[in-house]
Amino acid sequence: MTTQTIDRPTLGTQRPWWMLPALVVVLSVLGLLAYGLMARGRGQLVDGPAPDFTLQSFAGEPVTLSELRGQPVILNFWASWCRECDKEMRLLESSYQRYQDEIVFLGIDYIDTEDKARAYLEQYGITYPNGPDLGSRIANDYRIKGVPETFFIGKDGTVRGVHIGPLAQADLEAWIEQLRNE
Amino acid sequence: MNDFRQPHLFLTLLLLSALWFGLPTPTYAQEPSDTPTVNDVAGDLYCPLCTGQTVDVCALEVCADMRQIIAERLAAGESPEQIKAHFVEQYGPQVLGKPSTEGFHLTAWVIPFIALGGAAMALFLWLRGRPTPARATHPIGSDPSADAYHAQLDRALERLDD
Repeated sequence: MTTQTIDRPTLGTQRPWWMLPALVVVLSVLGLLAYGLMARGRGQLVDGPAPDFTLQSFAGEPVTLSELRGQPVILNFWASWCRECDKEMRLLESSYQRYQDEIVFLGIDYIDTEDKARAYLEQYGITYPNGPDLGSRIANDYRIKGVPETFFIGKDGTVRGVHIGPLAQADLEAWIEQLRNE
Repeated sequence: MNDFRQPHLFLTLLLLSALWFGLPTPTYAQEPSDTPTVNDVAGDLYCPLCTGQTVDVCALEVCADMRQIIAERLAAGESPEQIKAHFVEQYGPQVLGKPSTEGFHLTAWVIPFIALGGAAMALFLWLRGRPTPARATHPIGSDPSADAYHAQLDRALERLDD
């Protein structure tokens, strides 16, 4: 018995020209979706360089974070409508009064109205620099999940940690001790 | 006789008065007002703290504050666009509920149209490439390459039978 090879007719294996642009479009859309998911899932900022910003304080003086290099910074996000923030404002002010020569305290007012923010600061007798987060840029850079949130930044300008929710005295003192002893 | 009719008269009057007061108050067509209201502006702004809720219906304190600011600024003669720009500066572009048309955000506007156009073109080309009954001028099986193949196959089978 002899073996014979039979040539089958070709069945159009050549890809149409529009496959490439269609593939590019599909990949672009998938890439954007992936970027969006990754941006959303970046999570809390707990270490690394503290994002720089310039805060225009309610007192009218600009405060730039990078110019504070060499001093530890306690960065507190708050809002006048935030009832949880009430619990830590006096503690922050008393700590500022005690450690203002060693540690910089900064307050960032998140999604608020200026009149209410000023009234709130006056109500709690806050004297450390505070200012509005215009355009929510600082909050976005620090990826806050809500208020209150407090970031602890070392002398070298890197984030040492974050506290979510109102600070208890023991927590704040522990952070202050860590920042002072670095 | 009168004693018999009086209850009827009373009931008729009662029914008529009930119908009268029950009728809807007539409303008259009003001239459209060009003056924007607080809700007109608040309806175009999104709550900066919640998702997908416009400021005109949001119950949060911050949205109530925003409505008050809108009222104050409208009374001061500012246009809705100026007021919206103020809130974008204060809270960020998310209050507009749509991506900006600058920088990377522009891709959010462009990509859907490109994708839609690409999909439409792919569909068009796919449909155009399909054989339609009207274009099939010769019966199935009359393809010369297929005929040659079948003939070759028949010869091979015959040889196999032999």
